[in-house]
Amino acid sequence: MLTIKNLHACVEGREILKGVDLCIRDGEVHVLMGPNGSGKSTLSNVLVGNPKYEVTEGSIVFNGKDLLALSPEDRSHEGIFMSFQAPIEIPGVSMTNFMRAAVNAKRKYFGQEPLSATDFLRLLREKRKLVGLDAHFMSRGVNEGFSGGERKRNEIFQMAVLEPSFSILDETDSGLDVDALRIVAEGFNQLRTPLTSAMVITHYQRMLDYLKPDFVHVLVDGRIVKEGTAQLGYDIEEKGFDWIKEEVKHG
Amino acid sequence: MDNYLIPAGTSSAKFLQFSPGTDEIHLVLEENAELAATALLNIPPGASHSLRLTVEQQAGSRLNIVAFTMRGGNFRADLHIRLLGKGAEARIAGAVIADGDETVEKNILVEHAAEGCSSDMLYKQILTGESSGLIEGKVLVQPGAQQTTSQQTFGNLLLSDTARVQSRPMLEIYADDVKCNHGATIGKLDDAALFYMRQRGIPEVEARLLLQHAFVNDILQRVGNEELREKLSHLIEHRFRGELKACHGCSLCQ
Repeated sequence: MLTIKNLHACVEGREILKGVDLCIRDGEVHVLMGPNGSGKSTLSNVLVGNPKYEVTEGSIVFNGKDLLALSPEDRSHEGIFMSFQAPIEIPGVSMTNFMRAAVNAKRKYFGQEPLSATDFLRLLREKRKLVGLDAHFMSRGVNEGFSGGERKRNEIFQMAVLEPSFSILDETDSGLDVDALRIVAEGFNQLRTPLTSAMVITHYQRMLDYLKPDFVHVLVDGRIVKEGTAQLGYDIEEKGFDWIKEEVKHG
Repeated sequence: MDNYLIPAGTSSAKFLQFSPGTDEIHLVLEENAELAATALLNIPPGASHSLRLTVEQQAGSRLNIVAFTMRGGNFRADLHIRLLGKGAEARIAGAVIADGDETVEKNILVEHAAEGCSSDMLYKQILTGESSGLIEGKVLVQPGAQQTTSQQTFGNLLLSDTARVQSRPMLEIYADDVKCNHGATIGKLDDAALFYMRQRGIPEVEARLLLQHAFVNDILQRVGNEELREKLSHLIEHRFRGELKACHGCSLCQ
């Protein structure tokens, strides 16, 4: 599904990613861990084409397409979704209008007619149930007045509506209490199919328990320095990152 | 000069669409009278319009003005609102959308001449091209106008390097028991919001349009008549899409 080769990227002139290689196949869930500032969020932002990040070297191929040549909106249509670490508030744009614009833009991309009002509202209702998001949120501005937990739920709700084939969860678990984390993780798990994949950035063992990832990668100073199964995640939770940094130093 | 009188204790609603030229309007709201007025200006580039509006409000009267400058050509407005009776209330709001070489200038004076009156000014401008927008809004609190409350909120979006804006909320207060707030902001479209929308698949052009529309949404919400509000909302959308020509008898006038 996704092949990243020798990826280098800068933000504000500073090189953050220094040669990342990563391959994610259909149906796999990969967890990305690493100390603060190691480049996890940069990698996510580069994948979704955030214009603040500049790719200086390397390639990303997504389902046979050169991802770096696509606009952020086309990447979205092609099936890439990012759950934002800090979802943005957009006062004055209602959730309903926001989602209608998103859904119909995707349909247009694939040459389909816009959804009828009835079908669209039915879709929203069905997906809201999945993450337990109340109907009144739909008439509010996007994330306007939403609590931290509600914003994260709203991200998973949007993911449910857009049905991406590849999802990036950038610390979707941070700032969530135990119940909210369960709802978000269960919502995510319900959306998984043998054809959908995900890259999950997390610091928490609880997320590993829920998601049961296929692989764990550790990013240190802009490079993936260690890879393993879910067990590696549990080792990090217990021992931190220092032992991995030591391993790297002694090659 | 057009004179309108809203008799005591009655309420009325008006929709005004201006044409190029000069308009002078004098409004009197008698005691406890209510007026909701919505105004629209949509004239060809190069055309001019000047408006002089004076309002006298008696005790307990309520005024709600919402003005939309969709295409203002060369537009100048002078508003003078006098709150002459106890407990009068004036809410005045305006959205200005300008591009090309349009120039819009608004001078607003709200005079609190009696006690317990309230006023609220909400003005937003979205300027692009080489347009310029100037708004000066002054609240004058006369001696004896105690328990005055006033709010001035001016917001401006500058979408090109060559557009110019001046936005000046002003206060002149000669009473000591008043509550007057004012604020002005000048900015551009929020990059983070734009990117968030694009990540969800909303094309950049559409995302910009939604954000601009959102910027004037609070002004639109002051139009009490839902049908009129919907029509104005569509006009604004067409305006941002560049599809709105100067008025050839749009649905609002028919």
